[in-house]
Amino acid sequence: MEQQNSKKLGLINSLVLLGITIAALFLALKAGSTAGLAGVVLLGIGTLVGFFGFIHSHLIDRERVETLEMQELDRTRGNESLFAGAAEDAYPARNARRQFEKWVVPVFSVSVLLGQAIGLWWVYGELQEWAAPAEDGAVLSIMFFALFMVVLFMMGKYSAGLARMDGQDLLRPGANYMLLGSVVSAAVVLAQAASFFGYPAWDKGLTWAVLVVVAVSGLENLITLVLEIYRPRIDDKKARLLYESRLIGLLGQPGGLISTAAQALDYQFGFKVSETWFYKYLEQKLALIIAIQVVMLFLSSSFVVIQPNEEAFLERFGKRNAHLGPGFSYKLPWPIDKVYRYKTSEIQNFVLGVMDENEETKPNTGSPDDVKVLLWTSQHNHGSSKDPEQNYNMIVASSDVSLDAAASDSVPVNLLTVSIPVQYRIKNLTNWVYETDNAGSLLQKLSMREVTRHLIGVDINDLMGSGRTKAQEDLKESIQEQADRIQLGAEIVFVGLQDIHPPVGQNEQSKASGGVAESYEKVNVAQLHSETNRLGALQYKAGRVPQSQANAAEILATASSDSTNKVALAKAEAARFAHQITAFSAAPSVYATRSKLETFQRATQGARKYILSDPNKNDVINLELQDKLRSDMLDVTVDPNN
Amino acid sequence: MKKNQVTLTIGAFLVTIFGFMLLTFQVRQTEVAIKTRFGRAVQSDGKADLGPGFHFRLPWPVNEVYVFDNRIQSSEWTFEETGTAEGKPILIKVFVTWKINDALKFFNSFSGDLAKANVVLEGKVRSAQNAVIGEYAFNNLVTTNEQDLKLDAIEKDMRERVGSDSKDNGIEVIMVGIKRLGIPESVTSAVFERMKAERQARIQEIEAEGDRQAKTIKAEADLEANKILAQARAEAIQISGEAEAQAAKYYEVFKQNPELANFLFNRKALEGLLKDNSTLILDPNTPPFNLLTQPSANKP
Repeated sequence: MEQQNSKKLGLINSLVLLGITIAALFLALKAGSTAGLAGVVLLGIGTLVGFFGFIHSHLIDRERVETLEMQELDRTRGNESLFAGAAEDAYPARNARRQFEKWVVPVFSVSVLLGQAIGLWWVYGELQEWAAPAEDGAVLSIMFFALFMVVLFMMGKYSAGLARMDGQDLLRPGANYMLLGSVVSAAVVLAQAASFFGYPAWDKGLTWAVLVVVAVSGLENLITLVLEIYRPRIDDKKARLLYESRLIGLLGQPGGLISTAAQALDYQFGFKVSETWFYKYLEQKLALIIAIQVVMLFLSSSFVVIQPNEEAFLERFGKRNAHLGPGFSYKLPWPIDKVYRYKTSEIQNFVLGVMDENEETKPNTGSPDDVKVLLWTSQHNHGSSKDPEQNYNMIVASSDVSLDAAASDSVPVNLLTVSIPVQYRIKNLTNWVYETDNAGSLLQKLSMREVTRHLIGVDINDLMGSGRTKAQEDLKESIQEQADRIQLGAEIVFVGLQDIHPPVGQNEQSKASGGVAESYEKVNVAQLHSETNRLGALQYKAGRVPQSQANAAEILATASSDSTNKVALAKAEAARFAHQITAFSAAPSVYATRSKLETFQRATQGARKYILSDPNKNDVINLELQDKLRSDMLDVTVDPNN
Repeated sequence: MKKNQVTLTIGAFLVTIFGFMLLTFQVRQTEVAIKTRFGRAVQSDGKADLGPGFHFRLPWPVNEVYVFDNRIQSSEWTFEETGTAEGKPILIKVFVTWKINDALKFFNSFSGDLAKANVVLEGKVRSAQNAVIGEYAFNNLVTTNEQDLKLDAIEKDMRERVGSDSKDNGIEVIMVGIKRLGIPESVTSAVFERMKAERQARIQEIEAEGDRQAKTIKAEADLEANKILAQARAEAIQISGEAEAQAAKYYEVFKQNPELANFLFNRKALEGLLKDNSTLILDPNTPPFNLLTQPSANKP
């Protein structure tokens, strides 16, 4: 009779598990709860195990009936020797049970392992695309999972108690899954409630916890299967059920865990720690202690401390009630009053045109690798490998007259690479929080709009030259104006234009002429060459004019000197001539000869002199005994009168 | 007994929380909500919107509550190529700021889903942006001439179109802004080449100007130097002439005996001619060398 009741209970348990699994799947999908889906995996496996246990118990029951019938038959025929040791064929139910345990149970265990693997893969996939649970259906989900928790706990507890009785152990695997299902339902209720009150990450965390349980259970299942191959088979030795997980049993009935821990403590300390008053007191008051802690936690939500760099809003039942400054403030406990805090004095920053998160998040440690030189001709701070759309250049107007003239055929623009840091802080917290959803993102969009508007109306050369400072001021002013216009509640602290330059990306480079940025640098080089050339000319001029002035002065001085000399000589010669006339008049021939000879002597003092003693013989008298006279010179005819 | 009291307290606490959750709901300051009764919106004074605060409800399926963010939303979509009035290609990225102004209409139009609203808005914004840009010339979008720039008008046109298309969806379009303008990749390459050519022309201009200035400076220097030298030479000639004139006065004395004067000039010239490295080949009869061939002392 007990066996019949047990079999019926196993079937009821399985049907309840099946119904709860289907309902839980529907609720988890509706609420978008991955923790609920993980619970469904566990409950689904529990359902399979429950039904399998029921089939197994049915076979055992059949075997029991068969044995009773055989015993009854033996007794009525009164000849035990005839049927003693009857052939195995005489016990079809027993054979069926043995074949079932030999072949079907391992196959089922493998199926459970497969189911665990598929469940893990499915829930892990859901986790990869995890989103916060929807509020729609959250309350309904909480209600039903709480109901599941109660139902599974009560039925599981009853079945587990019954399974301790002799011959009822097939109820235990299903009961364990029901008890663990109850725990998981409680966890789902907790996760859903946390999500409902603004802590959706609990859902993710509890999903991971359930996944770990399923994974470890699967691992245990695998190890049990491997060990089963090598397990020694001894007749009449009852083996543990292959599809019963020790882990599930331990987690489903933590009381067993506590008693095991108590026994371990007893063993370690050498006396009955579990029988001391302290241990017993703790065991009795554990629920009360936990309840007091929960109450303390609840009461701790009655005050709040706002930090010096923060401001906060207190909302009562969702309605703004107070604006809190730094310091200690009282409030009604959660969920009546809620406080939302913001760092208002902190300067926040975003960069327009720079989207590489790695670059943005990489701190400058001051090492040589971090302190690099930023050149127009090398990639820095711009673009993003993750988002090609962000790898852009900004359009800048062209004031080139020739381009404007040809505007009907071409696109009269230039391109600039920009990265503009914008720093801001919250000026009006009410507007920042209550007027705009994601005010930071909107400020970024407005800033980009203003940058675009500014660039398309300014000439590239002005912007990169003297107009940069003005552009910086104009941009800051216009972004602030737009932020104020839509009451964003932000104060623009700084707009930087330090990183605006000609395009530098790979597309802008060509082997023939280099990049655009390089062309701009070449202009500077040309300017330097030109200046060098001009300075060379000035250097030439600086030498050439004074030199000519010096030459002119010299010419004039020489002329003056010659003139003075000429006049003085003329004067002296005139005076001497007067005296020479006197001398000449006195003895004209003597004076002439004397004068001639004196002059000859004086004039030929340094000259080489050859005298042809006999012109016909060509005898030569060399008065200076130096080099010989060339022979051709001997042919010269000399007038003796000369 | 005590254990039962604790259990009962915890149970009552849990029941209170669940009851609280089932029968009430809160709408935050940033939100607006609608409540339905058996699927029909509960309206008060013709409006279904429920403002921030504490509200009661009956459990599902009697009442259902839908809560939406009531703040300004900002949406943006792809960077899209379109054409101006004269057919020039241009890339444009637009963002829209909008907010829910009728929660029931918003719920009916988008099932209260902001993502769906964004998808629907995207089509309307793209349509408006392409239509409006197609009505304006390129230089209305990019120019240094303030008179031609029509960005405000373009944004206003787009806002009016999107607002008009969305008025029955329970949303109010606050602003349509042009976030970015760009040009297609093929045109970009051409612009880069043009920018480089422009720079090259500038380089040539600078170098030629430098060369011109250098040559001018040198020529001016040469001119000034030559002027100075020419003037100096002229003055030197003048000085020389004046000296000749002054010296000529003293030469008057040579008129007294021109024969002697010529003799003296010849002598002086001879002395000058024989001054350096001269080689004389003389006849022994030339005085005074004739003394070498006529040893007798009585011979003159």
